Amino acid sequence: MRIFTLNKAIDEETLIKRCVKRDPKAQKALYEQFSPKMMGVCRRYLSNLEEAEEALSNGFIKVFTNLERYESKGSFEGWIRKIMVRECLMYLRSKKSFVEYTDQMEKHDTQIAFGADLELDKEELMTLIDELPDGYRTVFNMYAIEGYKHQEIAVMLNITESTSKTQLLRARKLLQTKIEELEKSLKELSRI
Amino acid sequence: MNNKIDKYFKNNLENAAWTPSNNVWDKIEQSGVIGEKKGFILPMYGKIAAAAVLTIGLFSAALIWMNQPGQTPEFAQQDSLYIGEDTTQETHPIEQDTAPAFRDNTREEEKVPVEEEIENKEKTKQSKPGSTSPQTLPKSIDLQRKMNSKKRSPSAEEKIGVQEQRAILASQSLTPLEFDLKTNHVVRMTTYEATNMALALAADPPVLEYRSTLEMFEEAGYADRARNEPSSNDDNTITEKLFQFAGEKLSTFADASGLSFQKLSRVEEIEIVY
Repeated sequence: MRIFTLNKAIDEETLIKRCVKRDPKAQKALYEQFSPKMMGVCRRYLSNLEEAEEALSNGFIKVFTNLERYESKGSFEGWIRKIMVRECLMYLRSKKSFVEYTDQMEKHDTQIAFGADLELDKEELMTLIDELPDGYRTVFNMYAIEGYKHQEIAVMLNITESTSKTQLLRARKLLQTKIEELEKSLKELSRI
Repeated sequence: MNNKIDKYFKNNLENAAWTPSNNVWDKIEQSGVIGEKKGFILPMYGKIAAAAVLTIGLFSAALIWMNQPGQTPEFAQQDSLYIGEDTTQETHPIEQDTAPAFRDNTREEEKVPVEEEIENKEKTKQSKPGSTSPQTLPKSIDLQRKMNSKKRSPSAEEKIGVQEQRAILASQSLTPLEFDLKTNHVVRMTTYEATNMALALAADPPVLEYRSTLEMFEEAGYADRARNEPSSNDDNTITEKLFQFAGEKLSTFADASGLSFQKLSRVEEIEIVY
């Protein structure tokens, strides 16, 4: 396992070095290696497929342009992912999707019950995420999936921490409702 | 805190993969970042240095010329250029002590073909056997010589049409930048050229002392390798920032030199008229 990890690290390092030198084959290989996952990232933030692909291509252009700045301190995938998230946020910001909420933060987040027994595939989960309003979806993606803190989200989206928290709670509630509806309809189907 | 939903989505979607369409790769390829560097955002060191040396040289020459006593950077229509030696004092809108002038478009009848110009030059040479003038091509346009020589009004014989002029300049393998400078005194630069020039003008120490483009950008405050991130927190990309930087520097430079500066568009061209 260690050997495999070491080889993988060397390969990635070599690939990056070749990409810095603008070796087209290496660039294509890097794209093929990371584009499916990064497309997944973009899809989570941008429900419109064309917009997601636009963000993906712009993100990769930035990756190739700035590759020499990557200093192997963190994970390379994490570095690319960060670029993709920012590219998606730029799109969303241009659409002015982040509405500043002034109402009080809802307190009943702990009351949300979730039956994790339900098995949904990625397409179904993505559909649920797509149905969220842009603001909810973005905060949920950043907090729940990417692991950003509310403080970071607030800075990146130019909203208050309170808004970030509120949008997260609302996103969870909406997802909960949608999952319950799905469960219901599945049960009805099974009865038939 | 409720994080069951969070965990459920994270586990199932964090590494979810989607195959993008071929258009994505096509777009990346079209952007010019694939394959050999084309020198747009972070060009090769040598390319930067060459562009910097060229632009500094051209601007220095222009400044020296403009700062000469009695020099008036005033030009007529920039359609054709006066060249060659002349002793006649024909009527002309610009006086003897002024800069080499560009002929007005409307005076088409005064144009003479290049061949005639060459013949005239050769005749002049033959009539002056003791002449010590350097062995230069009669067709050549030596801007520096014109800058340093005493300014006088050119005659009709000195003038050549713009087509011939373009042919001459093309034969000398001039870059579009040099061509514009020599013919029209209008420099149209791409963002890349403008950025290079701005950095060259602003750099301290001089541009050639930088080990890499990135180092120079860092010095200028428009790159931060320590952050290990390719873009800044705000909406501006590095390119936009560099362009802004170039625009500011060029604007300052143009103001200080009495030049007219105009940023034509965000990423396409900058025009400097002097």
